[in-house]
Amino acid sequence: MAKIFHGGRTWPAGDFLFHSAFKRLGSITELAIPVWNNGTALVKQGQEVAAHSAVGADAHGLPVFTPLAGKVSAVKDFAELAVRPRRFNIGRLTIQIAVGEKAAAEPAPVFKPHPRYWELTKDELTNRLHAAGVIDLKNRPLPKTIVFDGLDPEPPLSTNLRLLMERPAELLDGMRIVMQIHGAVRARLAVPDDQPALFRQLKSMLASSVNLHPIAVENRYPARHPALLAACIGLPGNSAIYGMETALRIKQAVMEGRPLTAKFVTVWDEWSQRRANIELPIGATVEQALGLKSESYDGYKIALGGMLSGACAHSVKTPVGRDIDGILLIDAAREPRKAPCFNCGQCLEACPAGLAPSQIFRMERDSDAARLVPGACLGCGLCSYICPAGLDLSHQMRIARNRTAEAG
Amino acid sequence: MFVLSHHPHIHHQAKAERLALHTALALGPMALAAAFLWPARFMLLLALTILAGIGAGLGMGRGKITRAGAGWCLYEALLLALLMPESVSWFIPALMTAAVVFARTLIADRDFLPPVNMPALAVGTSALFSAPGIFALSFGSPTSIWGVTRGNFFFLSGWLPMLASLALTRAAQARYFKWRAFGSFLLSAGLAIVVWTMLSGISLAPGWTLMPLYLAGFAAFALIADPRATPLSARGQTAAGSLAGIVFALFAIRGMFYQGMVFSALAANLITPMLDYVLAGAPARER
Repeated sequence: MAKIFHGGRTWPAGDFLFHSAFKRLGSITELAIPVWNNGTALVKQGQEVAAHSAVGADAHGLPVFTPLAGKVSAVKDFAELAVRPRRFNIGRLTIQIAVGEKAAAEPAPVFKPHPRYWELTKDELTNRLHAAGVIDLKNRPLPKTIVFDGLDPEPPLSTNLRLLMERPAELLDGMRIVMQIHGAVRARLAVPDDQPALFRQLKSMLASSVNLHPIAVENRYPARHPALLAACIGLPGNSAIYGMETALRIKQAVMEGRPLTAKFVTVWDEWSQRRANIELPIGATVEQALGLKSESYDGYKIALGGMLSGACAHSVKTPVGRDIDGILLIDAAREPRKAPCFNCGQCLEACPAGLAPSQIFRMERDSDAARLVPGACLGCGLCSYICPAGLDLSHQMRIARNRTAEAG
Repeated sequence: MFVLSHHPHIHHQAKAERLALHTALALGPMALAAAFLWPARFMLLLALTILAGIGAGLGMGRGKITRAGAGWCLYEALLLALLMPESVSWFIPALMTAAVVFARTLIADRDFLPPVNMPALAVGTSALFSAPGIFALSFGSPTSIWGVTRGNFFFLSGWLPMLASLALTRAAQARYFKWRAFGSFLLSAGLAIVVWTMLSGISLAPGWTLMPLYLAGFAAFALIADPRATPLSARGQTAAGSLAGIVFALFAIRGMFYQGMVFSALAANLITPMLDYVLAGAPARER
């Protein structure tokens, strides 16, 4: 049964790459492994590193592994950044590695594989996931209800659903590991309602499962938002949410003994018209992912994420981290020309939080927007998308939200 | 150098500029009829208003972040030209167009503007409909095969071009048409009339109910459902439409004043900002 929420928007299937199988990137000669946000490096310049060895740790202590063998050429702050105001001067430590010529295609497992994961205790599982750099479940609450997110409602991101289509058995193993860790009594796998064949397949695969069931959900953006997804499915708002890639990496870490060294991304290049789902090694750059040549890309912008929520990057040297789902090279000429607001109310109808972005936009200039609860904004960007006047409503909402937060 | 911008990176294809252009094109039937009946006079007037509008828009728009836009200038120029009587001096509509565009461009950065749009046409039409003599004079023979007859005003060139333009305008603005306001207006006006006739015991002649309702529906279609002049939220639209319907009933039925629908539209428009302030974006559900 599909569940919906107020507002939101659905895009046609042609705006996604659901039917594009994952590809591997060609040979890479250098990596730029990010340990940003006050992470630490475990290696020094000039040091030789083996494939799948730990080279750093993020701010939460999760180890970061290099996907390929090579020699550390530099450990330094990411220099390719625009001028940063002091309040945004966060750590951007990057470990640059010159990949060796004889890098192994598939190194041996780093950890002992445990295909019979059900024999492990909860602590053993969480320790393994932490050691593999996948996820830290030791220091966070573990609710008894879980949502496994198989949706991809934001164009053109397609990795979640594509993984579900290509590797359902592996994903189900990963989900069962998660449920074992949580001691979950109820888990739901959210499947887009416009994929009936996939839904039937998963229903058949989970026919004997007691706690895990697939549920069809309308693939309406922003259904994946944590504030909406659990409510759509009818589970408590504090349910844990896991994406498909996380489930797969959990399975690989436990059952195959492999650390986290790659990331599934959707590449969308409007300059060369290249569109693909690829598995990128951690530390590959935007330039490598897009296959950019030396031509000028004036008038284009790089967005990391989806078309609606992605953040712009100013440099092709930006490394791809574990939190990036899409790499887009977009023609910036599509930016709308601004016009006066004529009170059409489209933003209010589109907002999944039930806010009035045009009102907040108007009142923010008078510093009176707090009354309209901009803190409830989900940051989906639909208000700016739908506005026929081309107003930057989502940006103004963000300002109002920050101002409200600062005011306490 | 790559462009940096805030998300989102895609936008809906519906644009305000395109809306203005489509609405301007929707006035085509009336403009064609006027050009057919007054070829030299109307075409000269139209050319002057367009020049004045676009010239004012471009001249005032320089340096501004948001502009009136050529589409809006064209629309306002065409509409004002059509609203003029046949005997008007040539510079009056040109000046009016320039003034409207000037005002729009001047404060476009600070806040939104109410565009001069179909409501103005509807008001003028409704007022003239209420005077049977002017009605007959403006529309000539109702049996004219194309519904096109010479009248006193450029836009009153017959019922067929006018209805065609109104229909095209609504089609152009269909995405933004606020049906709740329109529906609640008709419902509340109809209920008010029924209740009043029942309570007063006075039986109205059909002409007294049908004509006001026709005028009210016409005005409501153009005025009360206008995207700019009605509230943002569903509840606000219902409230504004209902209030307008009651005000209309008081003026038109109780006061036998056809032009009462103008005041009903004014009532709805006046409370729109208050309704938006109170109802639009009322505190969202807790997250």
